[in-house]
Amino acid sequence: MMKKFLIVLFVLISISEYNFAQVKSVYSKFGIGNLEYSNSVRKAGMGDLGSALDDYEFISSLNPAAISELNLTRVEFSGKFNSIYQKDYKSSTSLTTGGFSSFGIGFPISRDNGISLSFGLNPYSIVDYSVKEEVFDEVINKKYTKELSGDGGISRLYLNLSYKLPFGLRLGAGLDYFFGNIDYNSKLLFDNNDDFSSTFLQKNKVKGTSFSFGVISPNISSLIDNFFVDDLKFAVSIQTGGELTNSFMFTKQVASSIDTINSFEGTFNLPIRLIYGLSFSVNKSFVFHFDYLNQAWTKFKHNGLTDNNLQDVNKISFGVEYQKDKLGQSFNDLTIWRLGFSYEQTPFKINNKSINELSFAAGVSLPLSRENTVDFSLQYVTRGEVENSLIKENFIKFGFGISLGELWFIQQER
Amino acid sequence: MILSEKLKLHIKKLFFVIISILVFFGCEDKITQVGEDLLNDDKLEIISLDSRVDNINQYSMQMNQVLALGNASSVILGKDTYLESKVLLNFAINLTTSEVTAVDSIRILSAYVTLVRNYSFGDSNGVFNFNTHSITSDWNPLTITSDSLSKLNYSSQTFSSDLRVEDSLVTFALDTSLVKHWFRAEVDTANYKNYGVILIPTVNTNRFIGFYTYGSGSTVAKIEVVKQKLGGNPDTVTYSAYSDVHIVTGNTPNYGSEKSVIQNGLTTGIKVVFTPENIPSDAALNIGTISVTVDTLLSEPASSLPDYIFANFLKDSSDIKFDDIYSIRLTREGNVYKGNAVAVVNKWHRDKTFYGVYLTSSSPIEGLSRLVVYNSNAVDSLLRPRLQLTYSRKK
Repeated sequence: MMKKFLIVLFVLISISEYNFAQVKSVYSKFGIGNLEYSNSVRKAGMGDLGSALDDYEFISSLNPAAISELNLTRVEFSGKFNSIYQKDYKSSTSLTTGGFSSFGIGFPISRDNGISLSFGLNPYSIVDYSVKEEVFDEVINKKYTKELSGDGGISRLYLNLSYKLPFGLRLGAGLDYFFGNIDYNSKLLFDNNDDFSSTFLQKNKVKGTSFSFGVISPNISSLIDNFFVDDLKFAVSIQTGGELTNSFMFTKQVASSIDTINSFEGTFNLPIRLIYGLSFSVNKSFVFHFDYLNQAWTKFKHNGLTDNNLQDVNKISFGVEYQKDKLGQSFNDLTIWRLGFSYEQTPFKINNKSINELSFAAGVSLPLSRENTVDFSLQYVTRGEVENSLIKENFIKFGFGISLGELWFIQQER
Repeated sequence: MILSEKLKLHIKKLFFVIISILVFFGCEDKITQVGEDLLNDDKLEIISLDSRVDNINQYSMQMNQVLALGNASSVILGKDTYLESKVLLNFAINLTTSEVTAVDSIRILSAYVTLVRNYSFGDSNGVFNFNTHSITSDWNPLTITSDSLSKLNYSSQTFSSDLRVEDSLVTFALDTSLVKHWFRAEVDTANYKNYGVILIPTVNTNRFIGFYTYGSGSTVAKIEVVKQKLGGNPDTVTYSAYSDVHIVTGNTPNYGSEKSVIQNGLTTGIKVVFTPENIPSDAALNIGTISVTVDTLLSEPASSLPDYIFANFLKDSSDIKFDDIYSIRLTREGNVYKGNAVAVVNKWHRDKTFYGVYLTSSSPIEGLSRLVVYNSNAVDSLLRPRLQLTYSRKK
């Protein structure tokens, strides 16, 4: 089953040239684009984070320590549809986009020691916008269109390893390889064939490595007498960020002639991303999490220059998951329901106004069997404002994914 | 079994339908206007320059391009105050076998040349006369030019008489001794040569007449020869010209420092060089227009100005060498010839050198018409050659 799925997945990804779900937001012009966090349908349904959640049924890429509970080889794949409504002070639009979100595979190596390995691919940031302005130039008595677009982003290929200490402390470390192209296009288009249209392309080819570390505490609820919660854990994870190399090329195209204006090897300095998490369960059926994420984008440097349109990211996230009976046999017992909420001070600070994002989410995982689920999430996200020449954006994000578990490397005990 | 097989199948189908929709229809490439104000720093700067108002230096000069006129559709003979056009003709004398053996005994009773008119320039009532000389050196209609004319040798003796200028024809008698010489040249190439004749307008000639050329069929120049073999009857034979060309010499009229002349026949054109400064090297040139203004009263013939002229991209600063790919057609709108020069200005911008454009007639070897163009010295800046540019660049 899983092998067939991987083949189908490979074909689909090949056809789509690994088309990550787009965002179609002018805000993605700034910094390295729209930041993506968990890329998991499970997390999307419960507030986007959840670094202390170490469930064996899902692969977490937020915290390398969170895979220590994997008991089966697990493959996850997710995609997303976004329905977007955008408005500024003079016009509005609505559109839909979609694409793949993430792919991950995890292997338990030693269940007793919580040693698991996972790797996967997901977007770290997405740049995707295209706007146009039609102009009638009275000086030259001609009409032309100015078109600005950006596309691409930075992808993260991760390799995580976890280990569980005897007293239940889970540790994790990961190697992140960042890569991707971020292209910014500025076009001047004429309606007639007499005049030459021009395209200016700023191409950034980014690559570099970074590290992730994570820790999840043992269950500390037992330390408190008559405490109403169970499985209380704290987590900290860190992505070190660091310097990525950037092959920059600036070209202009006039008619069919392309000239390089400038090219050099530069850098992208990704700031450290820190996530503090807390999770606990109540009545064995409810799992709650609270998370706080911080990333100092004011320290981001692009080719040595800071960006005045960026601010530090602060994100709080809350989510709850309900599963009637983890050990049950029926469809109802194993179906997982989720609700979530998050509030984020995004990295964008445009026209001196902070762009803040509020998100409400719900989700469900439908069991195909005990090990396999089909997951869905629905998020309503709103950010920005119409005032100050900004954009008010409302997203409805529909996420879907599949999580498959199968024994691959460990002989099943009979 | 947690899930019925039927339900499981439905879920799988739903999932793969979603993925398929995502793969094939997932992305909507809609370009909107929402948020364009946030990208003001990214927008292209559009800058327009006009030589009439901006700092674009220019200069222009009249230049003569030496061209062979052998492919022109007329051979033109005549003269006026400024120009003189001579005609070179050579006839194909074909003798029969019996004529070859008895060439010395053949008598040439008469020889008349007929030229069929197809062009006229200048005063239609003016004097038209010329002398005919025998050419004594070789020439090639496709290579001989006004520059090489001085190397052409011809007799001082004139061989024509009985000139008749009619509405459609010009005829004249050719000295029979010259024709006999050509007959002998068919037999004895060592001692006799047939290089044809050169027709030179007389000093008092004051008009130009053009004639059909080799390649025009039955209207080509002909010589009608009446000959008689010893003891035979007179026989009339017509020989056609197989080689003809006209050569124009002289100067264009001087209309003062503000005007230059595009002169057909003399193949004179105007070199115009613009030197727009301060166009950044990273700019993309989107629009380029070159226009020139003509003096319609001084141009000739004023009643039928050409519909278009050419501005050819010069490859060299001192010589008139063109890059044919970058030839601009300037089309007439009233007294202004205007054309799209965007390819030319881009080449100039790319190469960082601009030797200018050479304004020339659409067919400089045809006829003798002249276009009087206001040049870069025109006092009224609105009459000077004009370059309009629009370029874009990233801020």
